[in-house]
Order: sequence, then C-alpha cells, then structure tokens
Amino acid sequence: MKIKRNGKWTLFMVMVGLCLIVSSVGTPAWSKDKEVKLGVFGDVTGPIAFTGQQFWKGYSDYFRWVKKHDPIKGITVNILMEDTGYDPKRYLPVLKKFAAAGISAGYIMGTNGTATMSDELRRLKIPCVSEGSGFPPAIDPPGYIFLLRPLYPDVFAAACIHFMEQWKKAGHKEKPKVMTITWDVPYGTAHVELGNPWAKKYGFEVLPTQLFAGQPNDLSTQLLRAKSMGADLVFSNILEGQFAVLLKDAKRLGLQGKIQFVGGSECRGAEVIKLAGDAANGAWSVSHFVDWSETDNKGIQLGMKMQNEFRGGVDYQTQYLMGVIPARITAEAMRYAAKNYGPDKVDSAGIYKALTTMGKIDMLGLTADVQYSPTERRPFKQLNISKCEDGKWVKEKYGIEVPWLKP
Amino acid sequence: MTELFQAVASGLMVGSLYSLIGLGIVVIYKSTRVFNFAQGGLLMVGAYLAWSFMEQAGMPIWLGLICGLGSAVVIGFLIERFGMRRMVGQPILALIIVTLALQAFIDGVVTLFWGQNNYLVYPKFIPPNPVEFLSIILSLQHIIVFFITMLVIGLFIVFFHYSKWGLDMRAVAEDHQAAMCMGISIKVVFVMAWVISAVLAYIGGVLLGSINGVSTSLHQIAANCFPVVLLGGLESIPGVLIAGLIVGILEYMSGLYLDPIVGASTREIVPYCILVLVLMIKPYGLFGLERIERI
Repeated sequence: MKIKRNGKWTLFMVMVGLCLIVSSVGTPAWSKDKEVKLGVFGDVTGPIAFTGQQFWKGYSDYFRWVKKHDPIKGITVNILMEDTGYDPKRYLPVLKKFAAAGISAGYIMGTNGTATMSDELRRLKIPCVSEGSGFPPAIDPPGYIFLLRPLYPDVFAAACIHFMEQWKKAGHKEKPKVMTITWDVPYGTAHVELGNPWAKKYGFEVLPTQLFAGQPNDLSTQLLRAKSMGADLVFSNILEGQFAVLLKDAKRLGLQGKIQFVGGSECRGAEVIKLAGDAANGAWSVSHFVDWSETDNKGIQLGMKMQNEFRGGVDYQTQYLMGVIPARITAEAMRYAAKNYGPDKVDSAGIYKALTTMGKIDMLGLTADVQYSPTERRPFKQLNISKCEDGKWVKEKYGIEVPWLKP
Repeated sequence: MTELFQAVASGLMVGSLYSLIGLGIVVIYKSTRVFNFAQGGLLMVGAYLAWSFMEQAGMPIWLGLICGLGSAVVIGFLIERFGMRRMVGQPILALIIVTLALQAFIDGVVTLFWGQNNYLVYPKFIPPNPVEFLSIILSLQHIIVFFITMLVIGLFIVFFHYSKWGLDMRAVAEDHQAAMCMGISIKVVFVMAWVISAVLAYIGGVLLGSINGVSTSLHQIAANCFPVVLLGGLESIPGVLIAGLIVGILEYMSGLYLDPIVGASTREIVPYCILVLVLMIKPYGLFGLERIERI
C-alpha cells in the first residue's frame, strides 16, 4: 500500500519531535528530586467548613513557604487535597483514592475522619497527623494517627486546674461547681466521660451536662439551668458561632462576670469577638498554641510573613495557625527522613520512623516543642489559656501541666 | 417557674422564625403542589447577598437591604423561569427532586463565592440589647424578629384572602385547569409564588444572620421548618404560624425537661415525634384541608 506523505505531515512530525525535546529539557536530569505525595482530608465544606478552610490555608501556605524559602533537599512535595465535608461516608473512599495515588503521609482535620480511618491507616501503614482528638482509641494503642492537639479531656482539665487556682486565691472555701454546656456530637462531648470523674476528684462539684444540637439561636434554657444550679465554671467544647451565641445569651441573662465561661481551641477565633461583641469579654479559651497578639513569637512572625507574601495581608484567624502546625510537623519529619535515611526513603515508612524517633520538633514557638515516640502520640502536655479583654485574646496563663486522663 | 416562662418565651421567639421560613414553603406548595427543599438554600444566599451589598459594596444599610430584596426577587424569578417552568407537566416527584438539586446547586454557589467568608457580621441594624419583662429576659433582636414575622404573616393572610393576585394563587392551588378557564395565568402565579418564597427566605436569612452571623450553616435551620410546615397542614398560613410557635416552644421545653432525663439533646427530634403523633390523629396536619374524592 502506498502512503502519501505531504509537507503538512512532515511538519506535524517535526513539531511533535520538538515538543518532546522541549519537554525533556523542562525536566533536567540534575533536578530529579523524589516526589513525595501528601494527602489532605479537607473538611472544607460541611459543618466545620470555616475551620477546615483556615486549616487548609495555613497548611498549604506553609508548604509554599518551605518550597520557596527553605526547601527540603532531595524531595519535592506534592499535596493532594479532597473535600471530605466532615462526612464519615466520604473519608474511606478518599483514603482509597489517596492510597492508590501513593501518598506517603496525610493530614486529617477532625474527629470524624480520625474515627473513620484510624484502623484503615494502621492497615495501610500511612502516618497521618490529625486534629481529631475526640477519638482516643486512635492513639491507644499507638498507631498511625499522630495527634496535633491535646485530647479534649486535657483541655477540660487545664480549664479546671486554672480555675481552681483562681478560686483558692480568691479565698473560697466551698467546692466550685463546674458544668458543661456543649454541642451534642462526639467532638463536643469528648471530654465528659473522663473529665467529669476527674474534676470531681480534683475538688469540683460536677453539675449535669447540658447539651444542644447544631447551630443554636438561643441557649437560654441551658444557661438558666447553669444559673439555677449555681455553676461557677461553664466549659464548652464548641465552635466559634456557637460560643458567640452562648456568650451573648449569658450577657443577656446577666451571667457575664458571674460565671466563668471557657471554650476549647475553636473558641479562640476572632469571629467569637466579632459575633459576640463585648459579651465575649472575660471569656477564656484553652489551647496549645499562642495568640496572634504575641508579635515577638517566631511562629507568629512566620504566619504574618506567609500571609503577607501569599495572601496580600494578614487575617488574624486562629485556625490558620493551627493549619501551620501539621504542615510544620510533617515537613520537619520529611526533612529529618531525607537527611538521615536519604531522599529515596522519604515514604510512609520513612516518615513514620522519623516521627517516632526524631525527638523534639522545634515549633518556632507556635506551640511547645512537639515530640512523639514509638509509644506516644499525645504531644502536648502543657496547655495555654487566653482571655478575651477589650475585644482581643490575650495571655491569661500559659504552660498549664495537664494529666493524661485515661479510663 | 422562671425557667419555664423563659423557655416558653424563647421558644416563641425562635418558633416565629420557623414560621416565617416555613411560610415560604407553604406559599410554593399552595400554588404549585411542590414541596420546596431548597428554602434553606434560598435563605442562605439571601443572607450572603445582603452582606455583600452592605459590606463588600459599601452601601448604606437601607440600600443594601433593598438591593438584597431586589436580588431575591430576581433569584425567585430565575428559578421559576429556567428551572421549574421546564418541569411543568412532569410528575410532582420530579419537581421535588429538582428542588433538592437546587439546594445542592445553591450550596455549591455559596461555597464558590462566599465559602472563604464565614461568620460574617452585618453592620448593627438590630441591637442585641437585653429586654427584661416579668423576670423573663429576651434579646431585642429576637423580639424584633418576632414582630417582623407576625407582621409579614399578617400581610400574607390579607394578601391571600383579599387581593386579586392572592385569590388567583388560591384558585391555581385548587385546580390548574379551572383556574386557566377563568383566565388566570398559571405561569404568572408560579413566578409570583417563587418570588414570594425567595423574598420570605431573604427576610428570614437577614433576620437569622443578624442574630447568628452569616455562615454556610445557616441553611440548616430549614430542617427545623419541615416539621413545622407538615404540622401546620402544608397549605395553611395560620397553620404554619401556629405550628412554628408550637415547635419552638416544644424544642425549649424538651431542652428543659427531657434532656436532663435522656442525657442527650432532644430538641431536634421532639418536633418530629410530635409531628408523627399529630399526623396519626390528623393526617392532614393541624390546619390542612381534608380532601374528599368522589369515586
């Protein structure tokens, strides 16, 4: 058979050839770093959308910063992110997808993801840093979940310890009364089972827990119960919008200043102040990281630099800082693995080994130094309390030592 | 006793908001027989639009609110014109599924345009000051919401009973063919129903946003309105008002008395339990029309 070749065909072949040559020049042999894929289970929609979006911003900005200013020798990081919507049904399919794509490590944004994937991650041997402190079985016995924040009973304990200190200092002799008003989900109630018996032993009178569902419009019922039972301390492991409603209603009912309101890490956002206004004054928030107001802190300075460089200005979102923490831990583990085991060994096994053996990770002052070990996945034993004063979160007390509450 | 009165008063305030949002569902059902699952989405997008006009576009509050209202009218029109009208003649189930799709679409649009801006706060046009009355302390925001709701529902009762358009809508709700024979344009009535529903959702969104801030979780309140609408009898405006208040009070009473016994939040399931009980006795709801068909 005779094939007719005209000038156009030849020109096409030449163009294809040129493209191949150009593409090979684009990937020079001397820059063949190992590609390490990280999977982010992004709860960027759904009930914790706002929190998840801020986590993602902090996480992705930190890796952009590392790539530009402090690259990890021998590897390039490729971050995959899928929206999991804080929906338990979505995590395992995304994990399957990520595993097929060959991720070496991951980042989970909440308790739902941690509870859903904990066993599967053990089976796949993929280490994941996780915000999901509401599911203690994920770290006991230690597996492939590395917690990024204190367990919720620890947060409750820190609030109780500091309150008791203040209570005694004020010369009160009777037992203070503590009540939990919280969101009726595993995250909201995670501290109750272990925290309440511990608080009783610690010297509190523990009042019945008051629950609410979803985003409340009015929490009068719960607050009036706190008032009638004489609560001195009200603890809530809830989100910004919910905490703002609690504080606004407390002010309306004349409870501001009479009861000490304390929220968990999510309650320290700028949104609480924006939504609650001066009703937020006097409220505490317990967390493991520092405030944006501490401008001498290296981690805060880095957060500002990153936002100025990548986002054109600083948005003082607490969860942005919380997103930097997992990125820093993962990046340092990869850096350690690349340096000590070689870039080729920066994979699931290498990152797991690094996380469990590298010792203290310098967190630039954003949190206390983090250290995991073959038997330890709970990195924060000391917590900080901030107080809202004149529309700003300021340091109340840092470095409160908390016991590990176990069944 | 104070707790009980406070729970009833708070329940009335929140229940009135349910009534307002539920009214949007009733208006559409009355004229088109479609149960609109996208009412929560319309509410959320309305709240975001009002914020955008007031904060992003820097308009004065009154102008921002009016522009938001205008946008709600346009959205209602567009939904009917390009979504629902094409489904005329299709089974009702298909139309209902379209409203579910619409909800998902609105969720996506809101995430796309405002997803990065959660917990937005309006300029303070409803002060949150406490108001004390006979040892009950209520927020001025809630009281204003209550009165606006009563006013809007009152206006709609008058509209449906005494205006020509209202009568047209009731005629269409009764029988499409008979209404057409009487020279009523079904298309116009459908457009009107969707526009009114979008406007009601907008008002609800702005009122709710002024209490809680504007966030992507605003649409969740619609889930509390579904039992309200069913309890009220699906097509009764006074019914949705009374059912909203009943559900609001029941939620707070269950929080007060049931939660401590059960040890969990019962507020969200109690309305549905009551709904099931009422429907067993009165299958058409408290104020629904009992249809008798001649065979």
